[in-house]
Amino acid sequence: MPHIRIRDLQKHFGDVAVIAGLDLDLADKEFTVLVGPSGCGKSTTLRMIAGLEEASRGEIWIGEREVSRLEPKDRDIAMVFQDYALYPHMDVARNMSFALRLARYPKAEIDARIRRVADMLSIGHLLDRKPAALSGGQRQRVAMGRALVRDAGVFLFDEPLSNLDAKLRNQMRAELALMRKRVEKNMIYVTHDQIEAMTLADRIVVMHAGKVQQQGRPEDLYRAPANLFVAGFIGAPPMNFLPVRLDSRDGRPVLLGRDYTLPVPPARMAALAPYARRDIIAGIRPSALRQGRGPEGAPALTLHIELAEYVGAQSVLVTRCGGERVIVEVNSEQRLAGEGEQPFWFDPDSLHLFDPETEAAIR
Amino acid sequence: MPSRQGLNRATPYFFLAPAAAVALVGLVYPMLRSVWLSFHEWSIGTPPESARFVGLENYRWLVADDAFWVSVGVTLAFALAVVVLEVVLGVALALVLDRDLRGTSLFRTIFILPMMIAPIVVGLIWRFLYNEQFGPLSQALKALGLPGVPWLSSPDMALLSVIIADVWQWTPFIFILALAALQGLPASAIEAARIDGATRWQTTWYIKLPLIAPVIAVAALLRLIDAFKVLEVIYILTEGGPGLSTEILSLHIYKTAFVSQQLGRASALSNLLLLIVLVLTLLLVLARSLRESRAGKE
Repeated sequence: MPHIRIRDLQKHFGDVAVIAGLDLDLADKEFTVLVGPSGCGKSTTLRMIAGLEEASRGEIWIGEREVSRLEPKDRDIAMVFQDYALYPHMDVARNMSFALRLARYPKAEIDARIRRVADMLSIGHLLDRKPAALSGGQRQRVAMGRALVRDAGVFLFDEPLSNLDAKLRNQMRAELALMRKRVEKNMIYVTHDQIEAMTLADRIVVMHAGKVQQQGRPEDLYRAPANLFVAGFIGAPPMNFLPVRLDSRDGRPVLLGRDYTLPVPPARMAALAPYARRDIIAGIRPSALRQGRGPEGAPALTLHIELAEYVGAQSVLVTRCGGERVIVEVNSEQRLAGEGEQPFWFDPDSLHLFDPETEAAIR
Repeated sequence: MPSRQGLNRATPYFFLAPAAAVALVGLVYPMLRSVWLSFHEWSIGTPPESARFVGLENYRWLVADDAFWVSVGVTLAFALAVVVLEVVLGVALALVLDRDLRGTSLFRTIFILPMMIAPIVVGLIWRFLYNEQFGPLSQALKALGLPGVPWLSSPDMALLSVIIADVWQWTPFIFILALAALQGLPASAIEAARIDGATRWQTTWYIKLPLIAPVIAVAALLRLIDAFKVLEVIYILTEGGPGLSTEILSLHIYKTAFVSQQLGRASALSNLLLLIVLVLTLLLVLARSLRESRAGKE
């Protein structure tokens, strides 16, 4: 039984459809990440689930209740905002207890809950401070704590880490991952950062232009992107795309590019049948390309190395292949001595193929 | 080099000098002159040399004068009443109009209008409105079959009538400042309160009002200082009457100076008024800084 069900959710601002009709099923206790570039409608979707934005059409079910016309307070949700949204005139304890005080919980119960959550987030020593006297990371924790003491059925996160600097963001991301193991709740998390999405999510929902592009487990999205957009969005550095044409050479089908020839993955042979002599986009991840000649019969690409960026354990090679830019990720230990033209090989099954018109994956 | 450093340190004072000179001529000199005058007896039209030194006589006379104490009472009642009413009404209006509905910008502009009218004109407008024979208010009461109200002619009503006119003119001042403060509030904190289960009323009471309180406090202080100095509207409406029922201190000073021609006593009066306003201001500034230092420690 899905804990959150969204049916044909739409949002229009005047004539502009920001969300064109969204269907989602989120299982109970699942950590769902809505991810996409800015303007894709992910925040609007979250705000409609929260009740801060009114849906133009559609239904939102939380458990057995249709909530899309209810006030936020009647939806059994808690939310963490991008800019923390702490109450500046209340100290940390009062910020965290605001909802409980409104709901007239007994004082002992409020104190116990705050103590428990504050210990979990290690902010116990900050309880009598005002938000202005806290660092960005501390404010972030307090915002999280304020949501957690509520013990609501659904937790919503609106880009909670995007105001933090890179180092703190990585640290908080790890803590979030730990926290979500301890707090078994339905969580919906919005971000534009695909790394956050990959590391935190049970299920990723990739959005673009007000539509769901694909949803599934992080590894499924990475391994089998449903379309060109998801393929380019999930994974860093992003997937390389090479325009090719399905042709035959010596009676065997091949993918012909301008200065390169790629093999047809055996598993896709049937799916490719309607594409004879038509253009196709081939995609290959930077990490799928290996240096050298590879085993006998392995497909090869000759890449012209223009730049090697040393990142640490990994290095990123910026190369060219018949006019197309190709990014390659290599182990820094095995970095090539020379520059210029170098051979690379790959496993034919690591090729992704897309229809250039529909942009859908050819499987 | 020390001399250059000294020069650098002197630069701000150099730029402040013109303003300081203006303040000295326009503010400090008249104040000192007024203090000097309050220890003398002098009539308009006679040469200043003819002024006679009388020591504390003017102040002694004031404290013994019943009219002075009546005037102090009227001034306090007027100032407190208008500030409380203006703050309550102004903030309430701002809360009502702090939303994006069609026509709100028109309402906002209309509400600010009274503030832009010259006080003399405000006095004339209300004198017309309050006119017991031809005024619209009396006509309206008559049309409803209700007895007329002696707006300005009854000692019991006059102060209230004067307060109404001032509230009408100066509520917009609180309103625009409160509205600006409300619109500067972080939208997400208010959304967070909605998520936390606060009703509209609770959001107003627990989040919005505490957050705009510092702005309201300053606006109220400015109004309080102004209320002690108001003159024109009351002068036009009642000239302080009937009896002494609306004779606030500034009007009392004006009458003492230009009707009774007792400039020394008038100066003593205005020095006392200055002292009252100064003490009030200092008290409020003190209260504010106390609260801030407490907030800083938390």
